[in-house]
Amino acid sequence: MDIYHKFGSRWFCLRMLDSLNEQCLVLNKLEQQADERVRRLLPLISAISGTAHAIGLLRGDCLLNDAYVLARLLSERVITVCCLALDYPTDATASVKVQSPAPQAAPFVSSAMDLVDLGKSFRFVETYDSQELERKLAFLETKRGRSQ
Amino acid sequence: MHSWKRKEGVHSEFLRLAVAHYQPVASAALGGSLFGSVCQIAACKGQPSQDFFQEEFTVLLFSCCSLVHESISTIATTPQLSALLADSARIMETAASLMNRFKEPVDANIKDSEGWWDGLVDFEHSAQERLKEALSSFGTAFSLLAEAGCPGSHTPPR
Repeated sequence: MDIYHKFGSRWFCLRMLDSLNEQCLVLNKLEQQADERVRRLLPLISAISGTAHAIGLLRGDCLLNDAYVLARLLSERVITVCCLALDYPTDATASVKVQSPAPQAAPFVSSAMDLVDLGKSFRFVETYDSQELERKLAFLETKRGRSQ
Repeated sequence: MHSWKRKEGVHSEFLRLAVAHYQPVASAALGGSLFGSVCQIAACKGQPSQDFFQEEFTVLLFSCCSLVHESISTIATTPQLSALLADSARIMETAASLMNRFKEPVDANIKDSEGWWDGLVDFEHSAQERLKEALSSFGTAFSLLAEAGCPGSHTPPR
């Protein structure tokens, strides 16, 4: 009977959801391994698993936009975990840490409007840094190209 | 014709595509502002169909599946983790073969204007989810019986 289902049917979508859930199960099994490298990446692996699971849950409510946002987050996390698994050089991050000034105390908020303004500066701070993305992708290209 | 079949080599183009692709609809991203509300009201005039959501979600879930597989294949490179990598590759193959079916048109005679077919699909999926765990402990027994040819003798005559 499966041959009667067309692309875009609910059946098609549910089968794809099953595949994603199975991939998440494999990821969960990976988390339980006593491998040193896996243990180092454990928080990020859990985050990837959770994000993928959340995207699957959003399907039930047809929350496509929210799912897109999470998928964007998932792709960033996957790129990061791939980079870390292949020993991404963190010297740039270290130099930034050294050069960055000492942390300043949070500014005093005197009114609700100040709080709103402060909130605006916090929003979308963690948008993707395209320069860093290109660096990471170039690194993956070099590493994976060499290994395969 | 292009195929979703996985190719050997570097997958940075896929990752680049994934990052570039996931953009929420602008009207929803602007939600909260006056302009965003106006955009949303304008967008509500033509509600996307259920098929649209299912298609979009299918592609989205497939790419998420690919992303998770990408991370597993990068991490599970040691011989101890090869079984997990093989599992992941098998699941990815299944998803890819399913995705390849989007090119196959369904017979024009098949119509589901009342939504009965979709309803049945939901029931089937729900039943599978409920029964899968309950029946898992009998899995070995069932397969042994099947190998021994026992279930055939208990099936009711047609």
